[in-house]
Amino acid sequence: MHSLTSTARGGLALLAATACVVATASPSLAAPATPGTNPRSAARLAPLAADAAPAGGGLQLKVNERGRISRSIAAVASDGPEGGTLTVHKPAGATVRGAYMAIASTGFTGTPLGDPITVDGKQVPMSNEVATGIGSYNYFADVTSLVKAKIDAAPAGGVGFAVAEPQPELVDGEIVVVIFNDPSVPVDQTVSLLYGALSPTGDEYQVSLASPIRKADPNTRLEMSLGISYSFQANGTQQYSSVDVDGKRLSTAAGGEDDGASHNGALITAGGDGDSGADPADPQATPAEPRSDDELYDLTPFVAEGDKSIQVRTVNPSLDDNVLLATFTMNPPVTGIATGDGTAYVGIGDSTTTGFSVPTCIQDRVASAFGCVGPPPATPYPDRIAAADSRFADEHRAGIWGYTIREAVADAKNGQNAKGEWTPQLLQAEHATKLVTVSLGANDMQFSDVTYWLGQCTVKQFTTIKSSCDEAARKRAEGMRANVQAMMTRLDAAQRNGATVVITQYYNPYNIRKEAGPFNVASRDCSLLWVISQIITFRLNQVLGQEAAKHGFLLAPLAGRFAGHGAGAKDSYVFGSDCDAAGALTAARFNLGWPPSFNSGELHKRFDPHPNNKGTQAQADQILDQLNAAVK
Amino acid sequence: MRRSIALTVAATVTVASVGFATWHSEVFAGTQHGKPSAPAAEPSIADGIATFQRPARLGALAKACLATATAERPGAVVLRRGLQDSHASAKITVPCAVQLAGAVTLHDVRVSSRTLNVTDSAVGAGQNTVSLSDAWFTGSGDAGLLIALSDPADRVVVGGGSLHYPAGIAMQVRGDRSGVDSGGTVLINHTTLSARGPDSAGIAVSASTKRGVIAGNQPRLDADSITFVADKCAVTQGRRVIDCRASHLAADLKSQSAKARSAK
Repeated sequence: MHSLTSTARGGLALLAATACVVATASPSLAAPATPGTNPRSAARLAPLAADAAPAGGGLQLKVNERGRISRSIAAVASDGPEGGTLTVHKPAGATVRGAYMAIASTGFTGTPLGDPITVDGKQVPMSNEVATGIGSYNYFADVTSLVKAKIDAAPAGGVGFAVAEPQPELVDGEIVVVIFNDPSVPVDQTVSLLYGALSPTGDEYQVSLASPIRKADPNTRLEMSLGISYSFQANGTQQYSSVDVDGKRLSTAAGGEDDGASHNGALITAGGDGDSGADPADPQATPAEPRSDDELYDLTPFVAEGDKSIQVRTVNPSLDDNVLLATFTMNPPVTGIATGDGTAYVGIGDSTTTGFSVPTCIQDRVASAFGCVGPPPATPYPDRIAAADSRFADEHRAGIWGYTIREAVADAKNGQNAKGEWTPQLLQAEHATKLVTVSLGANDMQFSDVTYWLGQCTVKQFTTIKSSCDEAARKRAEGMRANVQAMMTRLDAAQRNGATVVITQYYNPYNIRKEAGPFNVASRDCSLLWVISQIITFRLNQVLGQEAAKHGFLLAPLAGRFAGHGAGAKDSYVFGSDCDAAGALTAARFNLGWPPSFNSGELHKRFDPHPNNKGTQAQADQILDQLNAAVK
Repeated sequence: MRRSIALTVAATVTVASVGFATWHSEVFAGTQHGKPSAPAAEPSIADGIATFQRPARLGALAKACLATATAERPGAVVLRRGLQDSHASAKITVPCAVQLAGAVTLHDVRVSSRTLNVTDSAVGAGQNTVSLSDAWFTGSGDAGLLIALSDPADRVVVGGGSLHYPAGIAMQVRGDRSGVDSGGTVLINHTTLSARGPDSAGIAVSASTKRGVIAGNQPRLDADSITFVADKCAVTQGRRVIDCRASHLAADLKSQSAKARSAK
C-alpha cells in the first residue's frame, strides 16, 4: 500500500516532568500484536526502570537557518518498494535554501537500515545514525541536492516526490523539512531543526531568542513541530507523548500515525503542511484517535510578553514511541537552543570545526550559527565524536568560521556575539557536563594568510631590523596568551561540572612535497611552505599546551595524524591540493577577480587548509583516543 | 655558492639590458609611423568589456577602464595586441583588470592608478612580456598592483623608474597555465618598489620553483613584507647578494624551526 501523503501532523508529546506518570495500562496494549509496542514485551507501559531501553541521547540542534525564510514539513510512509508520494509545498517565488530528511526505522526491529531510502530514484545518504531507546535507528540527511532543482523549477504549490523504502517493513517513515528563501516573508525568522532520539525520561530545550517576544506584533511566530514514529493511536490507543511549555501543559496526545498507516512499518507523523497549528483544546486529554493532536503547535499562548527564552519539555511516558525531530519556526529569531539541564558535549572552535571548505563557505555570521550558510561538504569532527560515543551524543556544535580566541573571550564577556545573535560559544561551553572540545587559535595567528606569513618569513633577508620567522611567530603567539588564559579560565566552569576539556593542537595543513603526475613525475618540493607552517603551529601549540597544562585540560595533538596528508599529498586530509609557496603568493589581496578564471578564490581553494572528511575523521579519532587513554 | 649566484645575476641583468634596448627600437618603430586605412573604432565595448584589437596606448587604456567600470566591478579591458607607449602620462581613475595578449612595453611614462591587474590568464597563451623602462607608477591610497603571467617563457622586465602601491605589489610569472608550473622570469634593475600602507600585503615577486628565474639588481624595496622566491633567485643590494631560491629559504627556515624546538 502506498504511503499517505504527508501532512505533518506533528505530534511530539512533550510531557511535563510531572506528567511522566502515564497512562494507565490496558490489556490491549499489553498484547504483542498491538502496533507500536514492543512485540517481545507486555510491559510496554512499565515505568522507567533498569530494564528499560537505553536512552536515545536526546535531540540536538542540527540546522539553524535565519533570514527571510519559510518551511515546508511533510511526512510519508510506504508499504511497497514503489514508494509513496511526499508532497512539498512551495511558496510563490521561493527557492530552496536547504532540505533535510529524518528517517525512522521500525520500532523494536533492532536492525540498522542497510539499503538507502530513495527520493525520485536517487539515494539518500543514511547518515547521522542514532540508536533509539525502542530498538530502532534514526537517520538524518541533507537532501538539498536531491530536491532543490525540481522544487526551484516548479511553480508554486505542491511538488511531489516518490520516496521509496527498499525494506518497507523495517522503516516507519520519513519526514522532510524544506527551508525556502521566501520573498513573501517580511522579516527575518529562523527555522531550527533538532534531531536525534528523545530520551525516555524526556528532554528539555531552552530556546533563546534574539529579542523579547511581542505578542501583538503581527510578525511574531512561535511555532513548533514534532516528528514522531512508532506511535499508534487508532481507536484511542494510549501511545502518546506530552509537551510542556514554560511549565504549562500544551498537549498530552502527541503521536499517532497521522501521516502513515495503522500498522508497524508505517507509524509516522509530523506537524507541518496541512495541519492547523491550533493547539489541542484540552491539553490534558489523551488521544482519542491519531489526529487528536496534529503535532504542530503555536507556543504563543504559553509564553510571557517580553520573554527572551522559552522552555519546552517533552516526555514519552510509554517508552516505546520515537520522537526524532523537532522543528521551530520562530520570530523573534532563535539565537541558540540548549538541550537538557546542560549539554553533555559542546564543541567550540573555528572553521576547522564546521566541516566547510573555502569555496563552500558562504560567510554570514548573522544567518548561520556556524558562520557559513548552506551544507558543509565534510562531517564536522564534533558530530563524529557525538555519533561515535553515546556519552557525547547530546552534542552542541558551536564552532564559527574565522573565529578567534580574542572574539570568543570578548563575546562571552559581552554576553552576545559581535556578529549574529547566537549564544557565545564559551557561554555554551560553561554548561557542558561531559565534554568540551576546543579548536581555537589559528585565526589569532593569522595562520591561513599564507601570503602574510611568506612575507614575514622571508623579509629578514632584505633588512636587518626585521624579526626572524620563528621570532615573528613566537611574538604573535605570545600576543594571544592573555586571551588563551581568559578562555581557559572560563572553561574551568565546564570542568567543575564534570566535563573533560580537550584542547586540540593544530596540524600542519601542507605536505612537504607536492605529489603530482603518474609515479609523482611532476612532484615538487614544498618544504618552504611546510616549514613555515611548522614554525607557526609549533609556537601556537606551545602556548595552548602550556596554558592547558595549568588547568589540567587534556591535549589532543593532531600533527601526527595529518603528517603526510597535507595539501599536496595524494592522500590529503584537507581540501587543498597545493603546497608550493610560489603558487601561494598568487592569492594577492588586490586581485580584482576578473576574468573569473583569474579569481583568487580558485587560489584559496588550492591552498585550503580545512579538513575534508578524512581530516575530520582524523580529528575525531585523535580526540577519542586521548579521551580513552585518559580514562585508562 | 654565493659567487655562482652573483654571476647568474650579472648575466641575467645583462640580458635584461639587451632586452631593454631591443624593446626601445621596437616601440619607436611601432608607434611613429603609418596610419592604418579606415581603422575600426578602438576599443570595441561589449558586455562591459573593452577590447583592443591593435596595440593600445596608455590614454586609451585609461579611458577604456573608466568606460567599463561600474560600482560593482572593476574596469575590464582586453589587449589583444598589447600595450605600447612612451613619453606619456595617464590617470586610471578606477580599479581596472587588464587581460593581456602580446607585450606591454612602456618607456618614460607616468601612471597614476587605482588597483591595477595585468594578467594573461584568459587570452594571452604564448610568450608575453611586460617591460617597464623608466616607468613611474603610483597607486592611490588603497591601490595594489598585480602583474601575473602564466606561460613558462613569459617575462616581466622592469628597469629604472618606480612602482608605489600602498596595498601591495605582486609580480607572478609561474608558467602555470597548464596547471603544472615551470619557468617564468622576472628581472628588476635599479627600480624602486614601495608597498607601504595600512594593511599592506607588501612586495611579492615569484617565478616557478621549477626553472623559474628572478634576478634583482639594486632594487630599492620598501615594505614591511617582502618575498622573492623562485627556483633560481638572487637580488643584489649594494655588495650583498641575497639568495632567494626556494630551496635556500626552506633550509634557513628549517634551521630556525629545529633551533626553536630544541630550545623548548
